[in-house]
Amino acid sequence: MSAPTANTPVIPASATDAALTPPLRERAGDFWFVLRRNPTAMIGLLMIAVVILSAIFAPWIAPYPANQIDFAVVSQPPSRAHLFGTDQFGQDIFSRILFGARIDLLIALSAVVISLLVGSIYGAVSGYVGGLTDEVAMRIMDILQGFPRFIFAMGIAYALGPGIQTVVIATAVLNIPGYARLMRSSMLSAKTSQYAMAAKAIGANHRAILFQHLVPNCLIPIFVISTMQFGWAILEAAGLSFIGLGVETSRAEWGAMIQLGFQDFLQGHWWMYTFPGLAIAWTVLGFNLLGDGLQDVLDPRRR
Amino acid sequence: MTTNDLQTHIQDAEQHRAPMLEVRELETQFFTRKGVARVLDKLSFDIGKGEIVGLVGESGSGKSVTGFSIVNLIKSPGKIVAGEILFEGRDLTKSTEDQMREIRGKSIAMIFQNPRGSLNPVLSVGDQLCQVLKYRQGMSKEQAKRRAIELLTLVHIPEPERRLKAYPHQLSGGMAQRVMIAMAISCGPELLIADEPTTGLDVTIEYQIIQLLKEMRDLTGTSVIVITHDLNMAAEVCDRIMVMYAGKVVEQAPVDQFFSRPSHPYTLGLLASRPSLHGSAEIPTIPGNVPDLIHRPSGCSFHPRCRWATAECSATEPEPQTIGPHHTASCHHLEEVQRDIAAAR
Ligand SMILES: Nc1ncnc2c1ncn2[C@@H]1O[C@H](COP(=O)(O)OP(=O)(O)OP(=O)(O)O)[C@@H](O)[C@H]1O
Ligand SMILES: [Mg+2]
Repeated sequence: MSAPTANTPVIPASATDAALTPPLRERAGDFWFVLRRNPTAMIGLLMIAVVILSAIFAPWIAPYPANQIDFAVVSQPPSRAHLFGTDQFGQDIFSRILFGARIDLLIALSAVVISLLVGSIYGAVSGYVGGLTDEVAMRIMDILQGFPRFIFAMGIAYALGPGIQTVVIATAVLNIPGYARLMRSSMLSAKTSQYAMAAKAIGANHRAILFQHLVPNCLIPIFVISTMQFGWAILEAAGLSFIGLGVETSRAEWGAMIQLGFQDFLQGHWWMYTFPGLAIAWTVLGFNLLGDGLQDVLDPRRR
Repeated sequence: MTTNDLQTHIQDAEQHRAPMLEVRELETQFFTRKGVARVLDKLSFDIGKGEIVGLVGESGSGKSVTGFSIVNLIKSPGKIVAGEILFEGRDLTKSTEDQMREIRGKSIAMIFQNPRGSLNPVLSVGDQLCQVLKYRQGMSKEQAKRRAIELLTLVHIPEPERRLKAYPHQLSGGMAQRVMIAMAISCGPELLIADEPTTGLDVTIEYQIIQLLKEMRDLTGTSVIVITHDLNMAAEVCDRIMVMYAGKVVEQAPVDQFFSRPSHPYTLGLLASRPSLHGSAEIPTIPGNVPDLIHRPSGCSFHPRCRWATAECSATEPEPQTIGPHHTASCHHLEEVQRDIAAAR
């Protein structure tokens, strides 16, 4: 070691100073270790894993292609041949739900990434700069949030015309203000925290404080919220498709499938909308459970 | 020249190392809704190179505000309204924020009252320590890590490699304080301001931290300002003690002088209210409270609580009177006070 410290007889710190918690694992292992002991997160993770696996392996596990029209078997109730029944075109609903996971996950992922990037950069700048900039930036978000959420999404979707991109953009815009606010408030509380001040007092510069202290503190809540947003994005996207402003009913997408099934509501063809509905509920629940669990897992203070 | 004179002279030369920090008539005020709180009131003092100076006083006397003022981190509604802080001849009150950023850490570093709160809860100790080294010293990741381990070893943290991965909540108060000290000295500051470095620690740990501060001084020649209300600790670690009352230094003396010939009535009060090891049943306290800083008492700020106070005290502010080498006290009635002490003995 470098310095001659032998000149003063200091009692070794280990003698009295309290010890650490037992062996520190590597960070990734550590994370997995804590996650495994959190039942909420684990159940959520398993539920999502089911959805992701069916999206990936749909072509191999689905008994029928997604869009195989067969007029011999229209509107069949669940049976051995068609586990969840068939729709008005004789398409197998079970297969379409498996394939539908692809579109729905893709829409949710794109929407979350876009709103996350735009919203959190917007909020971070607003919170860090502060003052008048912050004031104006937040009033703009107020205006966006002033509209009822879904009506606002409908407006956007109506203006852009139906399609997958429309759903992505509408869902993303809907979620930008939430991210912006969250990032701004994390930024504000981190900015005025003692550790930011203490870092300053020992010479940290703007860049160091921003990237080493403030951003990591904001990332945990953002990450947790995103997990939950993922579920809500699926719900919102499906909602748009359901009212006919989103994905076309010819595609195997859960919202569009419910919309198609609902056309037969009076005939009592319950399987047409119930199973896609359950798929949505399953996925939303999975992401919410995982989000809840992550909140405990990611915060080192709560471990 | 008599031997005695010579002794004084040598002592003089030794202790009067050129001041590296000169605080001159500093006034820091807080513009609150109730009015202007004049927290630092024409505060003046010097800190020499390699000196450990204790800043003592009751809660609310402005000790922390003094520290924050020196590193220019007084936040709104507070403001330095007058005075100079000369650091190596340069007035810090006139420095820009960019210049101050250069000075903080490299020249002056301050550690705060509560070490745990000073560490970011979501970053590991190693991340926080390496970050300072990377940004300030331009070290590579590898270099920073090696240096971080050296620093932790320097502050006597056992198994430093392992501790690098620890999070602040996994550290004891003493460990957290060692980490803060390691961080503060990482850029080799010439002046370290330690705000109550041992508050909340038990006696053994307190002793270790004190030793550590001394050791750092001996090793690097850093000057240290130790803010504390613990006179026993000040006696242990300091070369010199400054007593602060209502934003002013009312008495300052080399440590032996301070305890052998305390002169200011407030100092006497502080010494009397010191919890002694022999455990006297009741601790005499100074009557009254720290004054309202918005409506400060006229004349000597201490007069409403002082048993020697006369009309003169409420009329004019006392100037510092020289009592011995580097020993001054600001009081109108130093002779009476000394006479009464002698009589009481
Ligand atoms: N942000 C603020 N706004 C208004 N007044 C303040 C502010 N910060 C400090 N003060 C005032 O400054 C005075 C001195 O505070 P300071 O924190 O320096 O005391 P201290 O001597 O460090 O006390 P302690 O021993 O409790 O730490 C207090 O009376 C306090 O009311
Ligand atoms: Mg204080």
